[in-house]
Amino acid sequence: MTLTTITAKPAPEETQTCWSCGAMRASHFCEACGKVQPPAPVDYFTFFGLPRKLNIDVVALDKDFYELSRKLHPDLNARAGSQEQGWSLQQSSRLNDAHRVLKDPIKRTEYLLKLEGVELEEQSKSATEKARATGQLKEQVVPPDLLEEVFELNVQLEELRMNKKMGEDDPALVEEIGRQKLELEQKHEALLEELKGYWKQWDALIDREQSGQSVSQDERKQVRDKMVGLLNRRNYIRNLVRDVSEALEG
Amino acid sequence: MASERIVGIDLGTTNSLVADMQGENPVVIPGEDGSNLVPSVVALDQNNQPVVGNSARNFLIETPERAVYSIKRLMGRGVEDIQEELKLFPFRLADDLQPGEVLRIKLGDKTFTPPEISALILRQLKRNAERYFGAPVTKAVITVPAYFNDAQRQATKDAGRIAGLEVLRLVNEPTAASLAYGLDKKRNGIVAVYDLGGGTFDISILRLHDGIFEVIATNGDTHLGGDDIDNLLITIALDDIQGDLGLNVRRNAEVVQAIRKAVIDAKIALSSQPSTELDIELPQGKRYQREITRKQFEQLIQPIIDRTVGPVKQALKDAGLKPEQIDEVVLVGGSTRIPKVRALVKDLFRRDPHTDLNPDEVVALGAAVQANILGGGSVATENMLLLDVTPLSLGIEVAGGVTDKIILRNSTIPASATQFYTTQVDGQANVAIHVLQGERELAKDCRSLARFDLRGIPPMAAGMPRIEVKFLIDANGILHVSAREQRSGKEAEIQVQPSYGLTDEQVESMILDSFDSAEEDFRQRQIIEARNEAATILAALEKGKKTPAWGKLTTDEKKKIAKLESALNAVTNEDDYRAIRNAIEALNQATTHLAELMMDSAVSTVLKGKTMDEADMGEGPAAPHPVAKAEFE
Amino acid sequence: MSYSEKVIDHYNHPRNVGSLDKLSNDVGTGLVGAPECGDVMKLQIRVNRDTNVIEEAKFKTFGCGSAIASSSLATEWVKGKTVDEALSIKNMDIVKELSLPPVKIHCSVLAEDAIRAAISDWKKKQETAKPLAVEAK
Repeated sequence: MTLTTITAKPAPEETQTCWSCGAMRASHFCEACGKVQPPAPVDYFTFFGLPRKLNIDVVALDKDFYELSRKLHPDLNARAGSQEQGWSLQQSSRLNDAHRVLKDPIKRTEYLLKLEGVELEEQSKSATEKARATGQLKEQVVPPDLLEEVFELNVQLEELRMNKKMGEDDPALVEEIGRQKLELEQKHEALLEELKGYWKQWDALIDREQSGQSVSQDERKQVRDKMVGLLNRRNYIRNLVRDVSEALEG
Repeated sequence: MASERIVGIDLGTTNSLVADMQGENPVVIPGEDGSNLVPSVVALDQNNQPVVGNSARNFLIETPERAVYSIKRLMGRGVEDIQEELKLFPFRLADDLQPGEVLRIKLGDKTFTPPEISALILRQLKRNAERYFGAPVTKAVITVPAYFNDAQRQATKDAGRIAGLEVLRLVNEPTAASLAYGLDKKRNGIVAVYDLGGGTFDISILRLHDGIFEVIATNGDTHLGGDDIDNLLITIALDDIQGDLGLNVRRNAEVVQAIRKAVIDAKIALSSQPSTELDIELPQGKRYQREITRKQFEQLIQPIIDRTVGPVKQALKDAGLKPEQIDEVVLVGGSTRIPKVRALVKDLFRRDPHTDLNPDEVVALGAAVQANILGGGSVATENMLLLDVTPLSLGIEVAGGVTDKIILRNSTIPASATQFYTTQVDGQANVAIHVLQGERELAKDCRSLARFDLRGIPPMAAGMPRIEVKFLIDANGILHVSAREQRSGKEAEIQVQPSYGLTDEQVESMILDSFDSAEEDFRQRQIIEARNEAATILAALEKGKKTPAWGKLTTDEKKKIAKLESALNAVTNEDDYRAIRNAIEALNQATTHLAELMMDSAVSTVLKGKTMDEADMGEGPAAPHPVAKAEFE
Repeated sequence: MSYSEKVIDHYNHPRNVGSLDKLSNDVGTGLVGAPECGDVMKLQIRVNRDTNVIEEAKFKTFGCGSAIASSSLATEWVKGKTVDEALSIKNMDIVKELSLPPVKIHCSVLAEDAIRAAISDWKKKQETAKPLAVEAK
């Protein structure tokens, strides 16, 4: 690895004109002369010129991604000056990062929640602090029966792995875990569908806002909390699906 | 334009090649011996002068202690990584090697780091290209195995620099192959590239659409290739010789190299014939003779080629594809000539792989295509763009020696990730970060890239500083790190201790002397050419002075020309070809008007009914005026 | 951020892995999860009813190395403490001891949560057990 300080020089104030030809420009490259522009510190949605909505046309996103790649990629700016090459590297990594996050439904949702100030970490930590202060039991963010289920399945998986290590075979256990795997996968799918329902609610709020109507903080929070809760449950299921598949294959 | 020439180089474990885009097609540039392949063998002759390629191969058998092959296996690795290699390859490490130090290999009584040895191979390719073009070559695209980690990539880049090449891009070998393969831009679909070379195995799955070559997933093994087959056959031969003939020749380097040559010949023969004979002369007048059938050979190598199955399945899984969704399979690397390997690939993908491209050359050809794209493109590469991925996840070590992944494998590069760090003690000024590469959960099972300290954190209460560390993987797959303390806005200073690899200063001191013999030859040729050109121009000027056009020049013009003429006369006897060219250029500029006047008079002569031949306007390169030739320099 | 040998040791050789009888009256069980990463942790304590001292602690954690090290350390720390003393263990103590980086702080939170949950379960058992004892008189 090499160590270079890739400090993005903050974009100049007059970001509206191209640094090279002075023409009015698009945000990442100049439409008049094609030069790559200094990166602006914008979020992934803004990078692609999208509102902060969750239902995204992924086909259109991909198309924009390829078109922007053709302008921003370092390979196509290899003959530019060193400063422009630096911008090309940063713009293109930003483009790739943004595309990677936005095209994936879960990463996209997590990213939006983060932009909205939801810190999953903070939530759990502050709940612990509250419990500490009041002497009450911490409120778990997932239902206790889900925790039980996760724990029990993990115990079974451990048993299966142990059996395999010892060269033993317990067909009944394998069958049982196989059955649970199917159930988990269905649950996993169902959670995604449920999430899409919340997307609709969220996007409707954004639409209302954009049409000039007011949306209360409470309304936003309600939808956000639903998504946070769902993602929390989903994390357990996701891990289990992964572990179960590995245990059955391995 | 000549200075902009960028060549494509395949720096292989067994053979290396250099290629260039000529018109619409990439072409491999042959060496002086007419061969496209330069064996990746380096030796020191009796005068301690380095010898590379075919001529170095003889040293392998005659003075094996002065020669080295398969150096690529050692690139970017530490002594603790190569214990397996040391058992199988006759690498002679320097005696005073310290742990954590960059490896040094003995050739005769001198030692070289792997990047220096690779640089000697690169310099040979550079010379071949320079001889071919009659002009210096200073820029290159070099290919690396897709599964090379950061340290291996950095070592390759260092080798380029040592050889006097500016490495504009490192391209992954299977990706390069796909570029050569897909040059015909009409191809769309999913392509799998199965690349089994001399020492490395890569599998890459790409989506080709509208000129974009998008890698979806890649996997591999940087220590798996034809070498392993050779070593297995050598071991069997050595066992046989000891068992049947009672002769232990393991420590006899000359005999081992003779066996190696014989088994490689046998391996190659078995790709086209059902059986072959090993026949090796041994000491004490003994002889090892044995017939090997293809069937026996295939049984022997099965465990080796089976090791490619895991990476192929993982790549398919990462790409989210089933074998039947792959539209085409491309074979790369000499080892894919083995029929059993082809059968395995057919089995894995349930289709016949493409074999129409020369598996030894396709990577170099692709590198030339990428070089062309970087140089601004041409009709042939218009609209082509390569989107590659990082083969390994990037992580940082966290508590308990666990890796926390921050950029996942198969992320399109360039890619970045930002991490926030804080302090744990009031007033703490340093934070240490350990950067890792790999898929395993424990840091000790991953590749250590670097340890570094964030320093100069402004004094604050514990937990208050918020240090933003940005990790960025560039288009070469090489990591860059930058840091900034957010509350104070101060750039945190980073001190990096790369886990392996050369420092900038070390590389600088290794750069091959630009006035070594080959460079000197090149310089001499330049001087001769420049002198010839000067003579031509001076002669043209003498003629021009005798034409009526001369009389039409102003006194100032004539004075200036006379001054520059004597300046050129003065430098032609010196050995500085650049000075000669500059003087030619100056004189050319000053005589432009004269040339125009001569041209005018030539034209009017024609109009008066005379022929060009009769026009009194000098001859040869001086027509229409002397500047023309220099422009094509 | 130098990792003490002890930390690595907690990961490689976690202490007190196992389980206690969940139904026993002097055993408290805490089952908690860290949704950030999908880890689950079960921590159990056996308390001496006369002294309120935690005499035995066991855990079982399915999760990353930091979560395992955190729970291993938590069981070591609670042993020999009274339940009230054990309640004073804060996640930041674990963070400091194990040099956990910010991304792994939730693992320490998980351990603190588990201690609280186990003690709370034990206390609940004592409350329901007391009236029984009175009745028996």
